[in-house]
Amino acid sequence: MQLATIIKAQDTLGPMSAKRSNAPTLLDCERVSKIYHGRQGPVIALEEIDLTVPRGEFLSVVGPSGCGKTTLLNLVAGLERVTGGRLSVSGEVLNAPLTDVGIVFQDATLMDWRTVLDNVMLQVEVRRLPVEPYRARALDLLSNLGLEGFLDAYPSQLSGGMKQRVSIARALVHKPSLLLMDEPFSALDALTRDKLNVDMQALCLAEETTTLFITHSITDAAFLGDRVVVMTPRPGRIAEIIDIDLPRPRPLALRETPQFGEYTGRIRTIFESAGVL
Amino acid sequence: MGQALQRNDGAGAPAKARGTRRRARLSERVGDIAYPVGTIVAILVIWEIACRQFDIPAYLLPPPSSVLATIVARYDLLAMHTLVTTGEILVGFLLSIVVGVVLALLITSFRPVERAIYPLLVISQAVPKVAIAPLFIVWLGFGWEPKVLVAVLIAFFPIVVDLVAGIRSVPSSMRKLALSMGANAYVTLYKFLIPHALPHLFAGLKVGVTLAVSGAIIGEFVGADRGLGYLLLFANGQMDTNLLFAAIVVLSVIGVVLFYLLLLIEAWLLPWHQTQQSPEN
Repeated sequence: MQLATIIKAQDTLGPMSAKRSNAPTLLDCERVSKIYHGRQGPVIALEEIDLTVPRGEFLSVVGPSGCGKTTLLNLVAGLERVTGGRLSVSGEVLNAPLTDVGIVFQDATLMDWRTVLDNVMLQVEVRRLPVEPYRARALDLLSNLGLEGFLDAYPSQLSGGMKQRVSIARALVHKPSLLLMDEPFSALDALTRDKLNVDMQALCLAEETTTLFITHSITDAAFLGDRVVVMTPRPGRIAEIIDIDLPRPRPLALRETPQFGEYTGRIRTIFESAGVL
Repeated sequence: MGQALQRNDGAGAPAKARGTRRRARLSERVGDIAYPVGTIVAILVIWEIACRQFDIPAYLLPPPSSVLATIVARYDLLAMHTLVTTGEILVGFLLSIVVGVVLALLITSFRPVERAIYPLLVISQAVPKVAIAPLFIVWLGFGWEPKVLVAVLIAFFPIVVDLVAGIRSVPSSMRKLALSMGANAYVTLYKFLIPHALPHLFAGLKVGVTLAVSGAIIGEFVGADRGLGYLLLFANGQMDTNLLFAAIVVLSVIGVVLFYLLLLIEAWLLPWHQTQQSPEN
């Protein structure tokens, strides 16, 4: 995985934190805005988002509810249109749902009528990809995620953490350029979450997929991300982008170290000064 | 969420759990049959004893034994009328599935259709079907058509309402997922929306099938020269309460058999849903 990161010069920050990477750009946001026209007049969900994500990066986006982070994910997935600025993926401006993508939602969103393996293979069926090679890959991913004994189980027989693992395998099986995760661990208990953090990191190191990880957990964001985009609400905007210069693979114990605490402390300070905390 | 299998159980545990679960389900099945059958037998026994003990005249309330004797003695007559009515019920029910499913798909796919049709659907249910059945006789004559039409008119409604509710209950994340996979409208419908809505559809079908029985009988009451509804009125006119009860018994059996056939089809089509409903979850 490309650990080197790039930060595009940003209005609020200035060019001082710019760091170059030789990886080509996958996602490019230039002054992206999103305004909803509600009954009480226009609501600015996102204001002037500038963000460049190179291929292979794991980018965390952290912020409180209402900071527009899910809106950002919907825009990147092409499920909603920008109302200002320019958003491009692989150099192309989106005007239809992005399909070179895997999405993991907060709720695992499994098909209750399909077994674990068939849920992962849904991705392959709908895309009309050749079944055999992708079936092998699905089995591979599921066994990496510790689900080899549950291939024929139905979702109703699985725990919350296992369901989310299935949905992660489904999001990766077709080797998408971009993995979008919308608060994937927020419905899970703390221990399941820690375990998934570790497994997710291992998987991303192996897959080298570019990942946009939306979360409201400062710890998860810093633990997993190459960079952390810190967002503040009303209007939703980027307060700061922080490089996490910690070696991988990162063990869970890293979270108790002073270096890690420095990063999470910085993020917390941003929220405090923005009046979020 | 119920009983989640633990991850560290290993591969052997699910198989073992499935074995004990199957045994539990079997005993549950036996109970499902034994309890209602026991209740019915008890009622019949009390009924029989009461009829004999208090000398209730047969034209008021014949004892079960004499109703059974009537069913055996007039088997041919009952079979002929049963065939007619069952045909009307089945045709009516199948048509109401077609009508109900098509309407539900139109309503959930096109907003203008929903706004145009939905109020009419509600109005169509507010009109008492017994009241318009004579009109169908005028239009369609005394054959099977008006009976089927009444059956459809009553039975399609719960099918539409439940299927619409089922498709509406598809979570937005599932629709987003379909879009991200590049699924077109057709694939979205048959890989995502319809399977998700199937349990709701079956809830509507179960209500619909019993209503189709009522619909066919109402149609026969209004104007017919055959069918169990006709037989009921005929027996009534003859003060033949034994035959009246015999017809009622046959009608109930038709309703129960159709209902349980649906349950079987449901269990076969939705094994995943049955496991969710099983009591140990």
